[in-house]
Amino acid sequence: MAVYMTSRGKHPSERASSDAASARPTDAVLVAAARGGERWAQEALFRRHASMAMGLAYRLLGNDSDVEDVVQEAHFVVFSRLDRLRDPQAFASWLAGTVVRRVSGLLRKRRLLVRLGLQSPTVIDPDLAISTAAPPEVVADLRRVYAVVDTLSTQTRLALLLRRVDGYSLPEIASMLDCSLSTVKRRIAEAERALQAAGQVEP
Amino acid sequence: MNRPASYFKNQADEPRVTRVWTALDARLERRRGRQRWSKPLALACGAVAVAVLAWSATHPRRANDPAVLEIADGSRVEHPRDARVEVMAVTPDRVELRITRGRAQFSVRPNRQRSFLTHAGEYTVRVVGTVFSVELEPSGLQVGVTRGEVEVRRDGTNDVWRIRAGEHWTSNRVSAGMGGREPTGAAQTRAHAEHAADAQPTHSTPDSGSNGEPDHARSAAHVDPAELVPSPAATRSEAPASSAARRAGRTSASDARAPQPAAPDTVSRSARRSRKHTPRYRQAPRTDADHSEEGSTAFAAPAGPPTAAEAAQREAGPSSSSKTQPPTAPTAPIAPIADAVARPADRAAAAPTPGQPTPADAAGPTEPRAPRAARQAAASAQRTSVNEATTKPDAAPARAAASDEPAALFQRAQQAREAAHPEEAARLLAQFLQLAPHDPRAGLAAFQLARTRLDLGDPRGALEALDAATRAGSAFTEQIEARRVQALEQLGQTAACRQARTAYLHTFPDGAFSAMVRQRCP
Repeated sequence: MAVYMTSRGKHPSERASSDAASARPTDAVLVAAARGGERWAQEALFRRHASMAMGLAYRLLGNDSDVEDVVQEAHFVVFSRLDRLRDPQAFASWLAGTVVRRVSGLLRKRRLLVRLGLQSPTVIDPDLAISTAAPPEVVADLRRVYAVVDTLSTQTRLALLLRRVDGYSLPEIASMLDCSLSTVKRRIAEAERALQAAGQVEP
Repeated sequence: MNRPASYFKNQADEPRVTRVWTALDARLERRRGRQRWSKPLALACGAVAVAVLAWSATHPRRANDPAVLEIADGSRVEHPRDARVEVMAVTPDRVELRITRGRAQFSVRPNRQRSFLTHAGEYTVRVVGTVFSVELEPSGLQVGVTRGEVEVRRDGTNDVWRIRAGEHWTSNRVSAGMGGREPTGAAQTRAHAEHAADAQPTHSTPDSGSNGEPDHARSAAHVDPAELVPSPAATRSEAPASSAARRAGRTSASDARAPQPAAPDTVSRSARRSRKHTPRYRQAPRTDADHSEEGSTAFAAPAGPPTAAEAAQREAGPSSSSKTQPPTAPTAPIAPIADAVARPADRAAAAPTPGQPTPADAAGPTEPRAPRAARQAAASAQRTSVNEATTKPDAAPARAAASDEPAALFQRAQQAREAAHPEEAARLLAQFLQLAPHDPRAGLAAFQLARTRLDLGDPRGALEALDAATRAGSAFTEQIEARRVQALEQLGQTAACRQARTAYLHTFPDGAFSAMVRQRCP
């Protein structure tokens, strides 16, 4: 099984932020300004992390229809609660965790509507979202993963996607899902067993 | 190998990001607007809350805190929130208020140039400078005077009552001020036991005083004390025919002078009063001699002998505490009052002979009352003269004659009080107490003496008289203790006054004078 872990051990968003740190104000500076009510700082933070938030929401949801709502709501929440952010430089991680929690709530709601027959199941087609430049093995792996996620529970689905697709570490996933590390491991193991049972996981 | 996520197409193109930001910024702007006001609003609310808390901590509010109406000259009207007091006119020469519901306490600055009128029902209370209360309820109108004197006039008539400090006046004829309610019966006066004991002529009903006599005359305007306190001395030839006389079905000389027939409601009221009120204030057991004397007066006894229950009620007196009083005449002898330093054998000498003129007699009954200071001095002088008289050895010849005249003394004392000669009344009452310390009326006389001395500004003498009344086993325990508080306050003995006040409120928490007593020696 191919696990696409990042070699630098940093959160992807943090890496994205640090790439141009010398040319742009840091997240901490922007957060400080946004706390003071500066609208431009809020917009800068939004635009800096909108791509990460939209991509994460898209990958977790598997469709495009609710991404904008999730991203807007997540940003509104973090901007409304900036005073609670103890480490301003961890804004991106905080935003990612908020997006995950919003997606979790949305998935639960969607699952309930499906069970009640009020909404049809979402069919995820990775081929539409994956770039043509992606290696074939990556595309094949993503197809196997997305083929089984709808059969998993919400928390297990999120743990699997965050681990296998986005490459977050187990502690980061535990923080995002607001659960213990062992719970994350158990859920990922459960997802792996589901993949193996479907015969879609490489040994 | 890169993460699979890096091979996903970019979901955040510029138009999409801008669209989301626009929507998000609009939400944030609304929130900023709320925040812009929320902080100052929260601060303002907090400040107001702190101010309210601080104020309530320093001004504890009771549920029945009164509303206060202040007039520019310093006069104040306090009334509960549920009472209704309307200001009809405030001019340099007149302040006119109307009470349409509830009770109001008035504190009026003395001002001879300005009339202070309070309308309540079909009555008008006029005052020059005093502290008094007016309570108008569907059940009746009550006027109580704490200090000074007020005049109650029934509108459209010449019926006038003068009410002095410590007295209450009650009538249930309040139709004009209570939404046109007609009197359910007749005006019915409910006098306090204190008044009865004091025999102040201030408790007559309009009917009892409106029988053709001059209304402003004090003697005609007030109820006959004998009606409240039947006594052998209750002869009052100048008084109008009382309802008691009508009850007895007798025709007196006053009746002859007052040919106006009694109103029908008067008859019914009189009958009711004969059962309920008159016996209530009777303090002293009546003797045969009493009845024989009453037969010659305008004030007859209630028709028919009282029942056992009525007799018990009479003897119990109006206050709850008086139930503990013995239902019979006091058994303990009256100790000497101020003049009591005299030997018992000499006390009788203090009583004048029937023909002996008193200072008040010399002044004449129609002489206007002296100023208060002069009256106080005269009272003090009289007390001294009585003391001296009781110790004079040559007063012995008068003893025999005086010892036969306690009833006459008591009668003259009552007449002096009704004629507004408190100095003479005090002197006669003191003599009566010395002559007849075991007389059934001794407790009553002692209390009257205390009240008279209080009115004369002699609180020390009043205290002595109150002690004597207590020792005599007077049924007016509540009134005595209330007056004791008043006397101690006038003496400036704050600690003793507070002690007496506490004792009164402990014994009579809902007493008729609890409100007055609470205001004493603050």
